[in-house]
Amino acid sequence: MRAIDWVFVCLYFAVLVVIGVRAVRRIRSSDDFAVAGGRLGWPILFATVAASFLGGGAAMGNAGNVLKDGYVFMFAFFAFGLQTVLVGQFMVHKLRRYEGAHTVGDVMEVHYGKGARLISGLLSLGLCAGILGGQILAVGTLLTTMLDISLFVGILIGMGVVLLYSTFGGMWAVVQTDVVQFLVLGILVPVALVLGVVKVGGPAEIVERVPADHLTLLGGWTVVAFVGTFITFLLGETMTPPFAQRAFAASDPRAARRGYVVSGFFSLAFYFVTGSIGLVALILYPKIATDQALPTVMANLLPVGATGLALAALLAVIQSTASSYLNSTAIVFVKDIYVPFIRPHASDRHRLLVQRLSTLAVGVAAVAFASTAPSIIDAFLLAFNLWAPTVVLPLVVAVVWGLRSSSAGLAAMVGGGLGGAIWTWGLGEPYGVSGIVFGVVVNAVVYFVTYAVAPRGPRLVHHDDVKLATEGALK
Amino acid sequence: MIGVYGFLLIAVPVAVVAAAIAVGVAWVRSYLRDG
Repeated sequence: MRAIDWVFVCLYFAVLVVIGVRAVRRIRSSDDFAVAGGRLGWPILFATVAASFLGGGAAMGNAGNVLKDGYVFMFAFFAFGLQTVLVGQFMVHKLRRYEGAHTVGDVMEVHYGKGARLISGLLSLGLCAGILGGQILAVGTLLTTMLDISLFVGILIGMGVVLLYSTFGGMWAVVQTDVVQFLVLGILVPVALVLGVVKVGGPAEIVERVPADHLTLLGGWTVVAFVGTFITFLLGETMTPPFAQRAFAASDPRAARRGYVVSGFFSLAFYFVTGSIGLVALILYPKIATDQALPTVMANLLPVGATGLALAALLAVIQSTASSYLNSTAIVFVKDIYVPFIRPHASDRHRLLVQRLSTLAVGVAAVAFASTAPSIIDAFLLAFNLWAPTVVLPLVVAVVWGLRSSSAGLAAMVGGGLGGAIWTWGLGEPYGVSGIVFGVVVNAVVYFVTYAVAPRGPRLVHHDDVKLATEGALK
Repeated sequence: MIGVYGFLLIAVPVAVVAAAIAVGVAWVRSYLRDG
């Protein structure tokens, strides 16, 4: 790295620190720390949702897989964006009715009781900790590769500032820095693609020089493989904790809907950009490892200070996701475990303190595990496979149609979780059907059968019903 | 003849940058106003 590269990287870190420090003075309550006081307008929501969910998978992962398999991977990946649009259009504005809610567990308790809150809280914790650990490993590997330093030092550099602003500034700091990170990745990554297209000789050259099946809908995949991957991407991360948390942080239902829908469409465009960078890499650097496609194109094609700019953009991609999951892990712990089951009458001041301490503790533990025992992160990531088969359908039908039944909710969570786990780890995903898809089917069947035969409460349809039930459950 | 993909290879990144800049301007204005 040359001096100019360091200037860009230091400037990026300095902006994060300044914004993080300024955000601290806005944190006066646990509500501010968890959902930014519920005051986010749609453009900020759009940026924070996009930055949080355009992580290493959407950037480095998508570019590398398109290099290997062609646009078919990107078409399957479009399921993430489609899911964001659908959830935005039909669901997030209704989440805003649960006043005082910060987590998925808050909503689950209103519809399915305390047991459902505990299960979704534990799964949320595992999921968030696993994804956080994955991002920490990614940031460490990135800095190790680009700066030739040890993994531990790379992780400390990459995560130190994230830990600092997330601990003291909570959701306010995470959202504001998300916007900066959104700007860095939203400008530099597409610019790298345009420069790559020019370097290859224009768009027609790319279309001509990549293998023909790299541009078709299915490429070399079978229909079953494509549909299975598409459904897995569609359901796998639906309404994960940071996703739901941002809906609770919206200033009003319209802002929530617009922010998510626009973010979903933006994601589709971003996947096209990173996927196409994979094609540029295939032509210009055919021998590189797939996961190096995006870093190589960015570091070689961006102008003066290229390495520094590329590093800042890639750090922005990873850090924005890491900070969102770090913040969510702490919020879920306090809201779904600590307050309901350990200290029910904690004052707001006490909750804020525990939120900050949990953020610090989770961050330090995740850094330690990622540096010394990455297999622990793999264990946490098992929760990712169980999220869709347990939580997603009961949550969606609760929020969209107002269904309430503790028996149906609990039976579906247990049945779907067991079904997904046995299919994945017991049977090894036979017939090429993923455990997530099988688990979701079991989850749906168990839910509706139990709902039909077991006792159930009145549906929560009107705003006032939801408000009253939420006050009762979250008092 | 650049075709649909050829057109998208230029149009989509330009649209992404435009969207990012629009959000950036809105955010800077609100940040300077509210802190």
